[in-house]
Amino acid sequence: MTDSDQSQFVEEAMQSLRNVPVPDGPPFELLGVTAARLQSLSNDVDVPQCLRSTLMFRVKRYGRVVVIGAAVVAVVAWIGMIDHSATLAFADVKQQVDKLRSVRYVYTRLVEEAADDIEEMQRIERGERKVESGRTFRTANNAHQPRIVRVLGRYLQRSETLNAMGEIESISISDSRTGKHIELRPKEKQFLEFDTQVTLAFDSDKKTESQISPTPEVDLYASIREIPSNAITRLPARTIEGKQVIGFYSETTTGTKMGTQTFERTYWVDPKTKLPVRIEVSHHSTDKRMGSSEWIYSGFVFDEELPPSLFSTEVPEGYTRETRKIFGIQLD
Amino acid sequence: MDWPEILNQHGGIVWKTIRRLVTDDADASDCFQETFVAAWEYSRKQPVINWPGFLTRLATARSLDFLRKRLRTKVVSLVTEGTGEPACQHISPAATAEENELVRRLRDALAEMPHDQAEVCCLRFIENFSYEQIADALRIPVNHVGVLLHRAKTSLRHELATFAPLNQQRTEV
Repeated sequence: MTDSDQSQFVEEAMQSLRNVPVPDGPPFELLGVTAARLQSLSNDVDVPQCLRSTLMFRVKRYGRVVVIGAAVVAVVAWIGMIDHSATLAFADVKQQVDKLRSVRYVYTRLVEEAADDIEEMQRIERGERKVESGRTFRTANNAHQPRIVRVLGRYLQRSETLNAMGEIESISISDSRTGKHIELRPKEKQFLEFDTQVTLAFDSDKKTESQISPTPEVDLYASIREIPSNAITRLPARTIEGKQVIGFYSETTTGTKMGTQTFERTYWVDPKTKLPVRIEVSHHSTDKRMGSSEWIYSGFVFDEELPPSLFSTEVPEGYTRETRKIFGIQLD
Repeated sequence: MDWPEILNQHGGIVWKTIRRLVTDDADASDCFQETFVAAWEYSRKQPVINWPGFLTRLATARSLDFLRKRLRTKVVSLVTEGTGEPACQHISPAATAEENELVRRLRDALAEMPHDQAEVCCLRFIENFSYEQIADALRIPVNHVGVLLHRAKTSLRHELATFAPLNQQRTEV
């Protein structure tokens, strides 16, 4: 073959790589997760430009000192991590979580075979509900959409539900101390206030209404606190988000009128900070109508400054206020 | 920055660029996210004028990083390349198998060659960028694009020498 032939061959060979069949577009879930990640990054507080310049100047000027210092820190951190990994107990994680002032994370629902159904809830509201044996409640309408959740203190929680393109569809804000729970729908300019809890008995159509009552703290803390430290199994280390983490696994089972409910929780913890990097939860029920589901808390940012205005439960200007009820089925 | 809109408009191009080089689903998903995170970081410092070109370049660079990492860790994928369909429709089954092998060898060769050569090669022959577009994307002189491309082709010719007869046979038909 001449040089020209060989050159043409390489170009044609590259064409075969160009012609490899590929899917038309990225998976829907990937778009959603990427959009959530970008949204989360965009919300990070910027370091002011002047501060960045100052830092760069200092790093340049004291470069050698910084490099030596960094090496020492790395060695100390390495030694420290080995020690922490070996001795870290879930009780330490609970203790560290108790010190937090704020937390932000991405909540992603992975699998949901069955869940509370909006239409079903509307039927309940209209008094048309019948619990049919073997019926499966279908997925809630926004179950698979990622949410960015921020928690300030122990009582205030803001959860932004994103659509596949990362746009905020709704914002849910709750103050567990007062029991106040509102939802904002920016596109519709709606402000929904949930003031009443409707509880339906599982084995009858008996309906009771009450004011939404305060709860001790938001779910994230409550779920960590509820787990007895001795009910935890240690898992081997793995790498998540570039960090070497160790796992704690717990399984809790409770018997209810709707069968046995099992929750499996895995906490992947950074031994250096003693704080979670990722929490995986899965729920299974022996009752077909409950089905099973899995969800993940990831992208944790701890103790960032969160302005209280983010958790305001006042009606924003231009929004229409409506009141709604929250529905639930009493299982025990 | 309207990231949902950018994802909506250019997500398809980025995905296509990545999937030609990265076959593993999980790796491709990581690569997709890393491409957009890198774009986010860049766009904080300076404005992006040509989003499709910029993202294609980033996606190519990230994909090559993944190929390189994979080669380094000596992980051999047992999954059939692409969807297992022939890249060219008018060749025999034996030639198809060889074509898939060719695609695999091409990816390995790109992972082994210097990053700038591999990047230029992908942008030119896979993404159909002109010399000027490559020069603009990589911020190098147009002449240097030619040099890098020549080196890349020489390297590929050497790596793919065993496949030359297949190609010659096909062009003769």
